[in-house]
Amino acid sequence: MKRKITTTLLGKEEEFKLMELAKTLSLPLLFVGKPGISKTKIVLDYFNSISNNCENASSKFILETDESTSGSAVKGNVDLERLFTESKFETIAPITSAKCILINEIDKASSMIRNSLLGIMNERVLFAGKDNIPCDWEVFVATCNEIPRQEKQSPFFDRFILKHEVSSISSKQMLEYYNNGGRDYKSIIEVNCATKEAMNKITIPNEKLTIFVELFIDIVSNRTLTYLPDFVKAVSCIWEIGIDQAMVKCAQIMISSDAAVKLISKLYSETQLAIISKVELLRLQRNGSQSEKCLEEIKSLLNLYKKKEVVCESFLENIESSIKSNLKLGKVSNIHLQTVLN
Amino acid sequence: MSKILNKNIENLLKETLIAEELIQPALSEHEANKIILLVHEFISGSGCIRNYYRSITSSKEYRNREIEKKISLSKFHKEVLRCWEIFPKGFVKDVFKLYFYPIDDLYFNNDSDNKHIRYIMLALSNKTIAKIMTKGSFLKSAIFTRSIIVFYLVQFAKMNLFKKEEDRFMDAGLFAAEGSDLDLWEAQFKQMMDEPINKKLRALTFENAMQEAINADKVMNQESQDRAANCFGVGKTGPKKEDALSRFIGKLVQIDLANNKLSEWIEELLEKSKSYFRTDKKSEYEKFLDSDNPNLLQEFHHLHPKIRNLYLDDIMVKKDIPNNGINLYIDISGSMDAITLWEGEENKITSLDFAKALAVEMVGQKLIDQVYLFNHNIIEYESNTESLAKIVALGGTNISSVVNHIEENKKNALIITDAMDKCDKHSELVYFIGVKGASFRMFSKDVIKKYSNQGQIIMFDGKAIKNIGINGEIVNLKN
Repeated sequence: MKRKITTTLLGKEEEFKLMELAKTLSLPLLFVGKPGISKTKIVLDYFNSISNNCENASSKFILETDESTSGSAVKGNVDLERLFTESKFETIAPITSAKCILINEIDKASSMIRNSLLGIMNERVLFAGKDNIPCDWEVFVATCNEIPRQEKQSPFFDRFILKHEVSSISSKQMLEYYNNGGRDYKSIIEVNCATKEAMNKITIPNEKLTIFVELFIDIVSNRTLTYLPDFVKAVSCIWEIGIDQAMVKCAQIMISSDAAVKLISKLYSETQLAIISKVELLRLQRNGSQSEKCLEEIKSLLNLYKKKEVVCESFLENIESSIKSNLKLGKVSNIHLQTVLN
Repeated sequence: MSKILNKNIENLLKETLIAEELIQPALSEHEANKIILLVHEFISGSGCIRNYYRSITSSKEYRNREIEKKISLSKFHKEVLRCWEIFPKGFVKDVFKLYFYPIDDLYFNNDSDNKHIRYIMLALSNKTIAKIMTKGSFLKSAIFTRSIIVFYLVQFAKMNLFKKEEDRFMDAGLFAAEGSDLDLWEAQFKQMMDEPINKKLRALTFENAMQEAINADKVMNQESQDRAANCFGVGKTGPKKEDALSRFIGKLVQIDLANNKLSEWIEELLEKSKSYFRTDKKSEYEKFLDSDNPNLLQEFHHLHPKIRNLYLDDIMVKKDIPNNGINLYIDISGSMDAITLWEGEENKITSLDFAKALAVEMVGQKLIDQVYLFNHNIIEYESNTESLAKIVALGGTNISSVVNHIEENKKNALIITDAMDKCDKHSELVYFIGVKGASFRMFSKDVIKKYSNQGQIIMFDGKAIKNIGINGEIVNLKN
């Protein structure tokens, strides 16, 4: 199943996938990035793609915060009509009924706002005195220009297990944007959805989870680690990648690129990495004889791997499917491919 | 050596523009120039090849050479530069693309088999594991590219200087020796790369590049990295100091290290200075109906109906008048860099490094409006991490002129100084943070007395925060 997102943005596929991940796992997502790189637009385009069926004003809650935004912006205002007609004191809090929530400039919000948001993000409840109003959001996104240095470890920002730094597009992408209509540019991006059925079909080997947990237990909070299995499965579905790659991606999203590099070197041996690297380059080949030479090298590396290491079947399966997909553009005959894989 | 570099810069960019790229799509001229200049700057100093030189000269093969055949670092470096002159610049662009772009966006453009040597070199340059960090990052892709290019240049220089004439099968322009067939040529190249010393050097290349990229991530966000990538590389006027980028990242790491080791002190110093300025904050009362704060109307709804029945005109609301921000003045006199505040196993933190770390922290906490550097002059300075890391000490100090400057600006200010100067002016807008060796006794008697009595002066010597007495003497803080 794929979600179609109509967007006027170019080069933001990764961000849309992250939004899909946030929706699948029901986790709040934080986009960090300098002004003018379309953080808000990404979120709004995604919101539109999921709220087409229930398009009404109450399905979205969008708040621009600053130092002076009062708590009532989140906790709601007094229902004046009921107050005057029925003499009942009640508050109306649109955030509780919204499916899609966007809080902009979260770093500038007062502690009163942040405290109110904590309950909404975590317990999915707006704590309003004696009333606990349930919140029914599907996607919760906050944006900011940067996480203040002194707040990097703060409980509030720690609640965002999904944090992502949105980058500017490259000069090449900008030129591509001009050539495709500039401000009139529009495209439909398809993102894989991670359905429950698809996720249930995935099994993560215990030894791989052990590697991840042992490597990062001291630097990641327990709360974050509780999400790991579902996280890996959802990433695997959305990005269409194998378990190993999904785990690496998880490390990158949950912790840092540095952590992902550490995990790779634990998950793969040097020979495996050399094979992956060669298969990757195979994708670039346009020349039949060069591809064949490259395949020969992969073959000898695979032989070395089979001879010297405990063979991981899923690794071989991934390599096989990568070779096949990388050769789609190439001119190597299937017969030759079979001799490599056997 | 610098002649070679200067002569090359114009030609280098021309050559870059027309250089054939094996991987498509082609880099833009702007990006290509940036990466070529970064590599050029990297190799302009011998520092980038020092580790390779050490490894090579400690190898058995080299140690067995006769003394007259031994080669100095500078001769080796000169050969590296000569190799760089003829090295195909298109290959540099290809390596960069391999790291910067997702592999799905790239393809080979050249079907010619005589380019296969380039393919082999690219295959050896491809480090899938590193691309998690480098994809989409100009700075980190550049770090890997220049390290890999230097690795190859070292190989060619080694081949030219250490091997016998008949063993030189390929030059740095990737041309085969006359009469050699392509298969043999490739086989020789692969054999050379498989030599234990070269395997070791290649591993060292990736290890160093990886560490530098990790460091860059630790100390700079994406925005700072983009800015840093733009401000390094040789200008058309001539080479800058060697490998400024690496030194810059190293400096940032050092400051960050200072932050880790000294973070508690920094927090305490900031708290003390902030609390002084906080007392400066004023509050006024104004009529509810005159207030320009629209949120008050919302709050009004929450009032109890009985209270709401009061005459609105009688309600007064409190209004805080902000204290107009804080400016930071950093003393860049030579003595600030001469005193070591703290010394670790591999590096030391001078008073100036500490001032920079404090400034970086304050900028991070958005406490600072404007940074100024001062010696005899006062210079308005950029308040971002990478600019602060680049501050260097010059000479001279004139504290009185700084106090005058603050009075003219009418803005609260922190002065970080070692106070090696007299000061005859008091200002309530000033808060002094002295560093190790600070000598406030040089201040005029009545001036230092006022600063001391009003709690506007403090000192940190690397071990403890101390007060300054009315005569400029150091006084331990009471717990």
